[in-house]
This record gives sequence, structure tokens and C-alpha cells, in this order.
Amino acid sequence: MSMDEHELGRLLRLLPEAPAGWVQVAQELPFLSAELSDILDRARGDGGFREALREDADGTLREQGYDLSPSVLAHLMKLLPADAPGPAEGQA
Amino acid sequence: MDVPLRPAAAPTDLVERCRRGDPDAWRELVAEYSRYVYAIIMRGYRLPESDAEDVFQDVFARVFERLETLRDDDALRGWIAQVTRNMCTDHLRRARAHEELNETTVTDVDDRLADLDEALAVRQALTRVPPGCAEILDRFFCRDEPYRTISAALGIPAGTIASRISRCLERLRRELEGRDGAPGASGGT
Repeated sequence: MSMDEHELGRLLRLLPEAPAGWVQVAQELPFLSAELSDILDRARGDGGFREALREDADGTLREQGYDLSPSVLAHLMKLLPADAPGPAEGQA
Repeated sequence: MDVPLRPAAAPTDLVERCRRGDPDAWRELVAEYSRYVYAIIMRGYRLPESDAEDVFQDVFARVFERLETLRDDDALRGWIAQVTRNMCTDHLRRARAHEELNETTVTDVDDRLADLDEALAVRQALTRVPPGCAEILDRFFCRDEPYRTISAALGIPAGTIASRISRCLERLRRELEGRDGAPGASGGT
């Protein structure tokens, strides 16, 4: 193989770093699937819990004994059911 | 930084540890391939950022779930690439249900992915050059840091950065040339 400096530099630039939060979620998610399923199941069936999550996800989950990283928390919030809006929805 | 600039574990070892449920091994695998998967999604298939994260997470979730089915652990890179391609294609089909993925699109993607395969090989070769070289190349090319920033971070005169980069690229080039099956091996002088 013979690449000149220009080509090597071009190839080095071709793989940008993935966003750190994405990487962290991908690293943690497989080991949190049971917890996340529990949280989502409860959120689907319990409007009050769902609302509390939307208002203060971190605090609500800490009270319940969960300790999720901010990236995983953000990912979880994207998975929350949107079809049963709570009073806090639409504020932001 | 996501990819540690130290020698990566052999794929067979890494996959075996992941299969045993070792979180550190999985962390390492994701770190090792996150740039590659991200580049396939963003540069190969040009998915919008808003969709890309979901596909990125789906790829790694699928890889984790299906690791047991990987028959040749040395084929990890190719398998991850294929999983990513499948996920991107599925996503595009859903997003463009009324459009055909035509031949031109597929050929363009193939060309771009071949480029990314070469880029990954170069990236992995960075772990095999002296750490000082890997760091200066990573900072300049991958993180796009200017000479002044690199100079301050590494404590070396700004006036010597260009020549160091040149020497380190030469080390990297020799490292790549020394590997059988390195990308572009048949196209060189």
C-alpha cells in the first residue's frame, strides 16, 4: 500500500467522532434494558408517574432508586409514550 | 475521545468477552466501532442527524443481541458494517415508502462505504504507531485542532508541528504498508 500524506490525512478526517452522548447510551443500554423496560411499562400505565417524569425525570427516578446517566435519561425520555399527554406536556 | 489510541483487543477476544456479558468489553467494542458506524450512517447514507441517533442506537442494540450469531469473530467489522447498512436501508425504506432505492443510490453508497473501510483501517493503524505520533495526528486531522492548540496541549514548539505531522504520517504509512490486506494494497507503487 502506498498512500501519500494527503490521502492519509483525508482518510483520517473521514471518521468523525460520534457524539459522546450517543456513544455513552450505546455502551450502557444493553445492561439497563430491564430497568428501562420497567420504567417505560410503568409510564405507559401510570399517568401520574409519566407526568412526574416529564417534569423532573432525574429526581423522580432517583426517588425510585434508579441512577441513570444524563445521556441514558435523555434517551429514555425520547421513548416515553407520547399518546397520553400529561398537564406538563407542551410547556417546552 | 471515543476511540482509545492504544492497541485494540483482537476481535475474537473482544467478542468472546462481550458474549460473556463483560460490560468493559462491550464499552470497548462500542468505542472501537462508534466512529465507523456513525460515518456509515452520516456519510455513507447521509441520514439526517435527527434520525441518525435512533439508527445508531438500533445498530448497537442489534449487534449486542445478535453477537451469539456471529460465526467468525474476525469478521466483526464486516458484520457491523452489514448490520449498519441493513438498518440504514430499512430506515430509508420506511422514510421513503413511496420512493424506490434506485441503483445509482446503491452504487454511490457502495463507493462511500469502501472509502470508510479504508478510513477505519487507517484509524486502527493509529493504535500501532508510537503514542506521541497517534496523538498529534488525531488532534490535527480528526479533531481539527490548529497548530497553536496542539502546541499548547503537548508542550512542543508550534514551529515544529508541521514537520512532526509529516514524520508521523510517514510512520503511519509504513505501518499500513507492513500489513497484509491493508486497504489499497493493490493500488500502490
